[in-house]
Amino acid sequence: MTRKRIRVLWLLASRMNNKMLSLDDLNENFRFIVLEVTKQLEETLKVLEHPNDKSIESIRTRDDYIDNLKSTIENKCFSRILNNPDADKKVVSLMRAVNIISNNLEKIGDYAVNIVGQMQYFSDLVILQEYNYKAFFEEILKALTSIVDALTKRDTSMALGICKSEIELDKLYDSNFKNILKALSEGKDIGNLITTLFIFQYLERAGDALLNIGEAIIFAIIGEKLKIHQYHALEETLNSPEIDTSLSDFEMDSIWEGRSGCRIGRIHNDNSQNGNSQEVIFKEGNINKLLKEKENLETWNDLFPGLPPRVINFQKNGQNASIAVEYLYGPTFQQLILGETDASTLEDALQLIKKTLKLMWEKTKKSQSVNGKYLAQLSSRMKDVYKVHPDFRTSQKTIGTLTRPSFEKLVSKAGPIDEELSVPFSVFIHGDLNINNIIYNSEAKRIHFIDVYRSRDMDYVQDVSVFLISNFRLAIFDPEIRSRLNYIATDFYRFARDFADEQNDHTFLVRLALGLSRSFVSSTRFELNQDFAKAMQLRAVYLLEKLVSYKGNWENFPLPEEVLIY
Amino acid sequence: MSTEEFKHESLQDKESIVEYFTALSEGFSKGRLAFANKEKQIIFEPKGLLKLDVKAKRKNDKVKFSLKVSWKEESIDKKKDTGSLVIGLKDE
Repeated sequence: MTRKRIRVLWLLASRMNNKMLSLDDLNENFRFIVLEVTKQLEETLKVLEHPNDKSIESIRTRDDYIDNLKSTIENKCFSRILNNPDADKKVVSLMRAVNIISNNLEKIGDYAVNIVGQMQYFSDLVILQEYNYKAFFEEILKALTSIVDALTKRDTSMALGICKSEIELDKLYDSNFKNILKALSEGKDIGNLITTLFIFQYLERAGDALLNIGEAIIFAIIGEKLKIHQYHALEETLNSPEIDTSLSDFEMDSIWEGRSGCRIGRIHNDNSQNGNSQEVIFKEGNINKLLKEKENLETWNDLFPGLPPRVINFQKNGQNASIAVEYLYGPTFQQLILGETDASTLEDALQLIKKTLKLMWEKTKKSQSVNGKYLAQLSSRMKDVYKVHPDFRTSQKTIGTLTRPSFEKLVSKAGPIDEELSVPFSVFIHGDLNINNIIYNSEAKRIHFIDVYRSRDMDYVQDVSVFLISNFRLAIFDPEIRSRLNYIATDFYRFARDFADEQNDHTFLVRLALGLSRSFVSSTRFELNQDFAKAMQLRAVYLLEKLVSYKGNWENFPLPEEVLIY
Repeated sequence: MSTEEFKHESLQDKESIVEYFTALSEGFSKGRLAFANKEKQIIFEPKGLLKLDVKAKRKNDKVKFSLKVSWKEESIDKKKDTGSLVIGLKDE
């Protein structure tokens, strides 16, 4: 849901080119709507604690005022965008964000009215007081308080905090829902319990509105970290082709600020008549990065024709360049796993991935010492991890005679292992082998690699660890899909281990433990679900502690494959 | 009334977890359990009667085993904080 919403916003914004605008009077309306909705919630809480008609009436009146504010903001946002065709893109994004935020604030205001509207159905208010509705209000009010600063100061952590409130509100709803169900099963106070449940439902929906608000702020900020999500969203767009196109008369459908600082878009033709349609992916950006990508695409195509997309065009333009590559049809491996794919198709795709990788590794194997430097990669990402999860910066802990180092100390203690363990051969790796970068064409029964700009001669453990964690880190807890993910991770792990055995690669498991630790931790910077992020962090700590305390010969280092299972 | 708290979460396996139990059992033998992080240290000196609760539970594939030790710190005139130690283990 999140990604799709961001995608739609982006597509709309990218179509509007605007110039600088003054935001002053809009800011005033904006601050007012936040303030009024905050008051609305505070007053609603008071009504729940001590119901009185006067407060209920004032909530209803304020709702009209909030509606008016919302309309005013909407009018101003739209007229500014439409009247300023050359405005700066960032200003347009901000306008759009302000509009989305005020729409969602108005929704929260409506929920407040709905909640006080429920009060008339209580025959006994004692029941309501038995449930922790205050916690919902605390969470909502905390999020509301940070909206203005998050947007005006362009503070990503505050915006993420607002997004997180949705998770907290869902949790609160779940626990209260269970308690109410339990109470209902006793058969007493049914009317009062159901009314209480309705109130909680409105409070839970306020969480959904807050998530929209947090996302809108993130969109307005467009921070470095979030470019990756946008990038993935673009991938989703590209995997649902709805327009028949040809290259003869193309237009840019969307422009993206990619992770590598490149702008990415899909080119298509709106009036294809000859039926000879084709879509291409277009990237524009730093010449060195794009040259590297072009080189890698060509290297891959020489090695395995058709494995990556074909390069259609490459243009240099001073420090910048643009590249057009073939658009490949078919779901990514991730979409296959998450979709309603039958087991045999999934198995075919997995077998094909393993077979292709084995061929690739054998064919490109070179005798040279390489080192993945997994912990150096980890260290460079810790700043972003701590921004989202400050509590992962743990301190040293002592329990009696037992001491466990701080996380940073643990990483530095494991550093020498990372440096010491080079592998005596390299293979040409994908470089970012996550399950989103593999496309499966079920008709041709073949796979394709996309995003190969990081391909190089390197330790294959880099690809193995990224692939494994890209399964694990999907925050999907549906038992059936989770068992698919667990199966794929275990099966792939065993495949890679067998390859290592064949190659007499005796330190494979040690390097894999380092690579997995790196990926577990760095994946948490995109994971707002605290429990799940913690599960990944704890796995990394477990592996690093195991490495640091290991006294034996590295050839016998045990890596419990259970770390890959969730 | 003051509250002191120490918390440490980790993943262990059946070999590594023994180090934690050893450290705790040594602490009980010496009559001094110390829990510390960078900022603060909590010291328990268990004396007298200690209440021990042992719980084991299995629900489908989830297993939970917990040990809870609680006691009151020695005080004749006024009630002081209650010492309490919880050791929990949960299968994910």
